Amino acid sequence: MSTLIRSAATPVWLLLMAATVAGYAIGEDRPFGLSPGQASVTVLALALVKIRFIVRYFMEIRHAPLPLKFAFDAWIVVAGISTIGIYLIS
Amino acid sequence: MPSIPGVADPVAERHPRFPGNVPGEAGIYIFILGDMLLYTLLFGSFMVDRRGNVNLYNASADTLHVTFGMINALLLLTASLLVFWGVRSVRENLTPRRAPRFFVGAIVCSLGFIGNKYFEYAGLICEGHTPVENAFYTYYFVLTGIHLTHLVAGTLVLIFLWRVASKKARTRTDIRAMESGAAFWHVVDLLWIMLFALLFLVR
Repeated sequence: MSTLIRSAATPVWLLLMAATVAGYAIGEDRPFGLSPGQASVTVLALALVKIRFIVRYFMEIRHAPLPLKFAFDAWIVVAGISTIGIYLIS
Repeated sequence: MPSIPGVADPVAERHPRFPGNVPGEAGIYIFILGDMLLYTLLFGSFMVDRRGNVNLYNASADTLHVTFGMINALLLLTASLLVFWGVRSVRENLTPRRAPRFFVGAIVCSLGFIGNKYFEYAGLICEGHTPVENAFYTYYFVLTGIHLTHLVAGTLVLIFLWRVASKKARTRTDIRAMESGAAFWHVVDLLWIMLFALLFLVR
């Protein structure tokens, strides 16, 4: 069991849980005088970073061949364009 | 060369230029990436429509139950950790008796999500917000609804993973099947991470 807990995925999970709560707080309360625009871009960017961690650590793509790593990173870029990109021109 | 304990590198033997390990069947990634690509089209469509109706979208998003969305994200992330532990446990033959329980835990998280979804949808509809009210709600119910179908399929996959983990002995084919199923589950998780930000938090 301790071997499992000492997987890299475990601290990543803690980070993702904290980042989820942080995203919620940023989106709902907009601390530090963030404008809605800044908060929205931040939560979307945070979502993409979280997704990359899920892909790399939970899906173990970290150990995968380069083409597969690239495919997922390319998706993250496309998702970023279709969300943050379009948001910025809204 | 990166390596995962307990796993040979069949891919490295076949493609020496691209060392690494492909978890599960390679074909699952065509399905997964195709599915994810469809989602980016939906994200883009939502954002483009939002461009022309920003105030409507923001006002509608204000009526959503954000806490439910966050709790759902936390449930899926936890299920993903349990799935990761479960797959590793089976693959490397660690904690053989506990491995099935990780998947039971993931199934409980998944059922929690489904229960939350029921209350969330029921709450919105009781407040008068139906899928036909406006474009935002249509997107909201359709996007989360499609995700819910993925999640139900994911729950069936978790049950499959639990069954394989419960077997007395597992073959390499079993391990690959488990890794494929786990990959699908993680995609269900990561899509919710994006949907939560997009539908609930963006203003």
